[in-house]
Amino acid sequence: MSDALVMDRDEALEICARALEASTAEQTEVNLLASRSGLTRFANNHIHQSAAETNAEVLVRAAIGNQVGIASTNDASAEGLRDVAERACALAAAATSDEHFPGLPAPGEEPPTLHGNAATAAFGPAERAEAVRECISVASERGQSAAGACSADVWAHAVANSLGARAWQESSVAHVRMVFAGEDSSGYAETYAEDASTLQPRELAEVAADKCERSISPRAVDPGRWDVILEPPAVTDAIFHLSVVAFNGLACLEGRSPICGRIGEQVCGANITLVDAPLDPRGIRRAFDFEGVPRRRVELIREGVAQGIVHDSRTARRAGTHTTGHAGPASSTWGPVPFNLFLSPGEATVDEMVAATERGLLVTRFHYTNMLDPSAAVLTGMTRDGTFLIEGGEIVGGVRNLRFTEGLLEALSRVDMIGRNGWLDDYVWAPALRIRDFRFSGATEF
Amino acid sequence: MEDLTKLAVEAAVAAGASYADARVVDRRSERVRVKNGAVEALTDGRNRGLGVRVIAGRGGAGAWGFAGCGELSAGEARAAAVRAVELARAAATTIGEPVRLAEVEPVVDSVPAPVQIDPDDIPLDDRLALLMECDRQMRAERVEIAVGSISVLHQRQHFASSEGASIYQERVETGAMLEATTIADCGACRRSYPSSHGGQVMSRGWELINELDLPAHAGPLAAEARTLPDAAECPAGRMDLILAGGQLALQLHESCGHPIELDRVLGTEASYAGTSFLTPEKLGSFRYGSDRVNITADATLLGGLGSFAYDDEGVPAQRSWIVRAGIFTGYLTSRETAARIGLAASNGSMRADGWARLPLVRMTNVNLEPGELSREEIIASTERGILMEDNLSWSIDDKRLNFQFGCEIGRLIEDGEIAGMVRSPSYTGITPEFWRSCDAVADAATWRIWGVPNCGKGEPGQTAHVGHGVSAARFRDVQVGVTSDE
Repeated sequence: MSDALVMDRDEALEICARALEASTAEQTEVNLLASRSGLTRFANNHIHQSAAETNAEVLVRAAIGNQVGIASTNDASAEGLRDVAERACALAAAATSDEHFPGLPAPGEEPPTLHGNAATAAFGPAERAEAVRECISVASERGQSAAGACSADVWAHAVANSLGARAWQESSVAHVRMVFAGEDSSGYAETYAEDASTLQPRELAEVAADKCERSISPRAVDPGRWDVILEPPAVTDAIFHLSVVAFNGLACLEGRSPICGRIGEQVCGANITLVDAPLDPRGIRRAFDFEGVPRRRVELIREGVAQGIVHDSRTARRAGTHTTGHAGPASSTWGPVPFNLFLSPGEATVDEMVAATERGLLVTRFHYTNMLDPSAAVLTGMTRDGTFLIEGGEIVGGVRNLRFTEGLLEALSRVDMIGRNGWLDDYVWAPALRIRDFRFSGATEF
Repeated sequence: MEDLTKLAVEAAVAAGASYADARVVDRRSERVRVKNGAVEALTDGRNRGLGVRVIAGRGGAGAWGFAGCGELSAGEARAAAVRAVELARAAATTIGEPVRLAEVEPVVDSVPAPVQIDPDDIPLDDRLALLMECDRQMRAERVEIAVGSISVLHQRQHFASSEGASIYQERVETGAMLEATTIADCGACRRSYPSSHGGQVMSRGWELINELDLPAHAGPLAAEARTLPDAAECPAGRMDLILAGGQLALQLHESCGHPIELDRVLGTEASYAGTSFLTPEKLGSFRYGSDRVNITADATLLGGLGSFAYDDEGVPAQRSWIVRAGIFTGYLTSRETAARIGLAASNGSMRADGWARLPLVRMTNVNLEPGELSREEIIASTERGILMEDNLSWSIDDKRLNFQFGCEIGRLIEDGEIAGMVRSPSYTGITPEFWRSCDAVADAATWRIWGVPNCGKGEPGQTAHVGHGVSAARFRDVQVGVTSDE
């Protein structure tokens, strides 16, 4: 009997093989994503959404010479697979030649086989509801109102191509997020893990409740330049946005990246090192990309110096290099993006950062971040769920939320303290940072 | 389709649901995207499945459960129904108010898609040739990146409920966009037509593509992108602001459309997308905008991306007032949220992103009704200001008060005339202050419905296709130029 959580290697690759057999193209690639997902959402101290989904998506890329067509289906029957292959072939036949298509990757080094977590697969509606009840009980005890979500997802990903490449892995992600609200304040906590048994919802709930309590009666402060301590959820948000625009091989080729032509140059502070490490166990591991190529560890910034970018086979060919195994789905035109980012930790605790700050702000997390100018990595967004004023090395209370508008590479040049403990938000693991003269451009009313 | 939805509803009721509905959704999505003379994406996606939503647990007044399955068979439909009931029972273990639904008359109906020219009748070769011609014209203007895209969605859906509703609906969406980008020392300067972020998308057929006349705009668009880096940077300070087209649509979307979603107002999105400053005690009395501001939600508009015949609870499409002469008068509702604030009926705003997602309160077509002045008269009566077009960047706080937008292009207005372009324009404000500063809305001559095909909400994430009818509007004394320290 198979111990696969969603779909085992043989079954997944058999489905891929049936689609490959149905293709008449010169080259064909098949991706299969089979998933089982469960989610429980809560608000106002009760569950309002309890949902589950099963699905299997098949994505076929067919190539005739340099002409490429892409088709997808979630019908994995023999007829569905034949149909999706035929549609991909028909599109390839109708396409114009694409000079940048390098052909499909030939079989190479086999990616490691990853398995999902059994505890996460077994984390069903009753287990999620129990985790939520723990959160709600903490909020109720503190006179607060809890909202959030608890989820557990497992999926199998298989890739096969007509040149003989084969890859299969399982992944799992368990997640809980909560925002506790009081009269005029709120607090937040969140965690991601491969193993649902490590979620510790009660401990997280205490963090959210403490933040909510400590930020009551927030005072208004003026926007402007502030010394700021960004807790890890704020840092991971910013680093993800930076990575999408800066280290994307396509953005670099097209001149849209803020590090275009700057590889080897100092782009931020010498205390900043950022890598994409797909197999680092601190993150949600991903062994291979949507071309079935093993994801390589890529050093993006070392000691402030830009070191590299990520590629798929298409951008690699244009750049005259090799793919780093960062291809997205063939239907995506976004370009290759690093999804396993790690910002190197430092030595300080958040408490030590606060103690070392004469006057500044402590930011729990950001909200609705968006690049105002991607080619300069200027990011904007709001603070939320716990923003605090620091005076004389102590937190003296909550402040109303502020809008920041800041160049990220410039901000990373003004980091003078780095946290020793990191936090994972699905794609990025990062510690807290203290940044001098961080630019807040506006304020809101709460 | 119909058989499976009814079977799933019956199975859910047999398993203990006090209410159940089911939707089978079958989608086909096609996209052609051309970039710098080559086909960048040629895709054809098919996706179908069944979603079952139930109320169960705690003696029938319990909680919602939802299960989706991508395999369409009688066995899977029954299993999904039973799973949904189990999920609801697990949810009912926390104490909340019982779920009550506002009444709706169960409908049996079948509604075809209102298209004039079925996109299926347009061969792929013709679609490619159209985009290649636009690409040629854009690159003739020597822009670094030229992109053109055409997208088509066909959707068939059947809805059935335990109250007796049985509704079949078809939907066709068609969209297109052109983008020209110049890379310069000051960064990437982009111009889009007819709007940014996917262009224009409507619930219409190929007649929309014909009306857009893409080749006529490709060259001028690229020429403007080529010269944009030479324009002055956006000034910083307070001045009058005129918004038009897609940017006014997005302003309306973020600062009015989302805060009137009643589920969000009642807190169910609090941990993720946030809540709303438009709390229920403000209904009927809060001054949202100036007297010139009249906003409707209208799912009945022909061709709107947020138009339909019935929402995903089987409630008929409606037109309702959101803001009338500046006063906040209405929400977007579901049956449950309408009942929760004492309304007799929902205004039909529950929409799900395909079969795998639970319906949420979503925008339909949220519109700024036309005013009296022409767009030209508004510009002519502006002493000093800036006209901003086509969004680049958007952000707003979690109660939808403090917003900030960046646009592709600004046009300075001096003494009632356009005085030149500015690049990287941006502005910021607080929602009610901003709409209260609106002193002119352009008339129906330039009023059109803009599609927003990428409206995100909910967990797991859902993307809604919504619309906004707008013309142009002027706002007095707005903070522009947000990147300066001054």
